[in-house]
Amino acid sequence: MIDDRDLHRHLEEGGADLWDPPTPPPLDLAAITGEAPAPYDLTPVRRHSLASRLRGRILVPSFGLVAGGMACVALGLGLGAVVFSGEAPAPTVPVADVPTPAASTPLDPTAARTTPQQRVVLRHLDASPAQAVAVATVFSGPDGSTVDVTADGLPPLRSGRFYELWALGTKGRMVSIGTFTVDGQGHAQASMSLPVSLKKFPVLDVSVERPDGDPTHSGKSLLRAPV
Amino acid sequence: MGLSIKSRAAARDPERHHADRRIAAGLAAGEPAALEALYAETSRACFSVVVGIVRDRGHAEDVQQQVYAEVWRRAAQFDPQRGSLLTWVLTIARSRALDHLRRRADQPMEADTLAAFAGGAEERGYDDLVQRALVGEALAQLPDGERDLLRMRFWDGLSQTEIADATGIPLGTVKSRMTAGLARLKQTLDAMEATP
Repeated sequence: MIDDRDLHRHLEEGGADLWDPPTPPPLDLAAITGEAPAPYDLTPVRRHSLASRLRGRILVPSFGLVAGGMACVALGLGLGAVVFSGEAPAPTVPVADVPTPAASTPLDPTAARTTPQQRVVLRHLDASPAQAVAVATVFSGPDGSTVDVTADGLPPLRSGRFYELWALGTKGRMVSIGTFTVDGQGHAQASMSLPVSLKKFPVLDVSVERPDGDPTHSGKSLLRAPV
Repeated sequence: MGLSIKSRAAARDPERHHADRRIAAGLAAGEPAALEALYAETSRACFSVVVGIVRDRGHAEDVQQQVYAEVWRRAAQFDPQRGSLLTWVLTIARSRALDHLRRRADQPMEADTLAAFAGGAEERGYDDLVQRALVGEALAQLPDGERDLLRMRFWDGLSQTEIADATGIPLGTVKSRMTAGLARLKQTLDAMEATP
């Protein structure tokens, strides 16, 4: 029997999986019992919808619904797909004070601005659903750097709350890159200016933030990866 | 309010235990429909445990299948005197997920998982994970209104006054619903862990 103290501890520290548990796969009845599979749909369809905007940053529409007028965005995404399709994730890279799994491709300083320079896969931490993931693609050029973020599996948030992408440095230093929200399917795409060098702030982090006017990190990180 | 909740919970318990008995009997008789019914009742909590240990959805799906294959094979061994069907399934889930981790011990592992193995603390941690899955399952069975208030209080970190402001529900009602929700949660958990 669980006691009240443990119950409160789980409620306070259980993380997103406690409130939005991961959806289990369908039962493969035939493989187990030899009987015919259950008569329900085994192929749920994810519908990617247009993302929203927040704090003046326009989020990029999802791949399946790119509007014809957004040619430059489509070009960027297309190049990204060409460059990165079929690429295996890089091995885990240890970071001194931020132990997280990650995969990234090396930075190429000679590439053109519209060419993706780096791709970082942000994996879930304990507080987020296990299926949560984000891919940050960094573009760099003479006018500065930008980062495109595609997130999936993040819990939709209550009105006013939002996710925030951070670049973490050493000794607790960090810089906010931008904010985004997800649609009802937990999906988002956002494009943000990258204000600092990822060589100096080599860890990307996604936190969930409350609309409390406090510009500092909430301490609730859901995704993270070293660059 | 307390009496009302207790009486409703007490009325639900016999149904839960009756369903457990019916499923257990069906499994023992080799009825695939019983396995389907069990999966509908327990798969969410089971998958939470497996994902929590394995930390990879693809691998977790394989382990989940192994768990229910084992349940199917060992159905006759289920002893209702030792716990509910749910706790039996979660015990198997924990074991199979740990087996999976040990088989992959020569492969790259997350730092905290490695630390848990090295420090021998995984047993306590994984027991805690099973308990958390039970809490999650009990939360999922709460009425939406009570669950939402508890979520705002414990996950979002709002005070009861902030919840009242945010929802427009009078503060007294927020307090009473929260108390009722916690009591119902506790009773649901007790019923889950009870023998059928």
